[in-house]
Amino acid sequence: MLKKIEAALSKFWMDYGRTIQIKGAHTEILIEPKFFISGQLNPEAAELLVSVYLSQITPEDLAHGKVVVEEGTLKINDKFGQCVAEVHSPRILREFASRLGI
Amino acid sequence: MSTPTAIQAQDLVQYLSSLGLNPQQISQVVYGLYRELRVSGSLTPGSDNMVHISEEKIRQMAKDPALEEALQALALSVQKNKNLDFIFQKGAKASAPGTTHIPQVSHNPYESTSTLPEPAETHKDSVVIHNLDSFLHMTLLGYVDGETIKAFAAEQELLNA
Repeated sequence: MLKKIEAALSKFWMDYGRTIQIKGAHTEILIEPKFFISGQLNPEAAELLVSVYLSQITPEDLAHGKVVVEEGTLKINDKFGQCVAEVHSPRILREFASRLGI
Repeated sequence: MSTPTAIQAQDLVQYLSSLGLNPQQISQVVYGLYRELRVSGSLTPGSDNMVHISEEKIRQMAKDPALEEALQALALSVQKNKNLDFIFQKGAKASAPGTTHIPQVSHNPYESTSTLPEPAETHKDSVVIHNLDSFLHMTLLGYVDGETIKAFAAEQELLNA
């Protein structure tokens, strides 16, 4: 299962332009992070997943509580209103707030 | 070695200028003196609050590439961290803030050329995941099927238990 998830993350990582390609005359090297470190999702990968997810959030989603911003923390809720993840990155919060004009 | 000259601290920059040093070299020598003062205290014999240093030593400091490197590393580190707490710390061996000591490459008598700036921003704890299964479902579903995510999350839960 881990391999499948890592492959999916690798594709995701590449689609969003994070993979570094080094092209030589007869070889090409792709550099990407280790997606799971000691059983935990690499924080950089988690940040990218969150950033992409938040870029698709609409003002309606916000009104329905899919995402809640309070006191410097952004909470991502599932369809039952349970908190799935908390975002503390000032950069992500700033980008999200500025996109939705909060 | 030429005889040391006793200079009042407030006259130091003018004295260094009189020796024909450029502003970069002056900064470098002032930094070098500051380091020596902290490390050995030997520049103010008799605690007379005057800097005792020979012209030869000044010229040597002005041209010292290791000292130049140390000054640049310190300036960059402070600019990056915007933290001046280290100024008030006791002890001559204190390194610049936000730096990591690498003993095996230490070759510099002014100590801080063997330092590297730490990454400016850490990603640790920027995203805290409470439910990996739901998180991956919401963010990675187009890349992998739901069953795989569910099985993977269950596997991880067992491993972390």
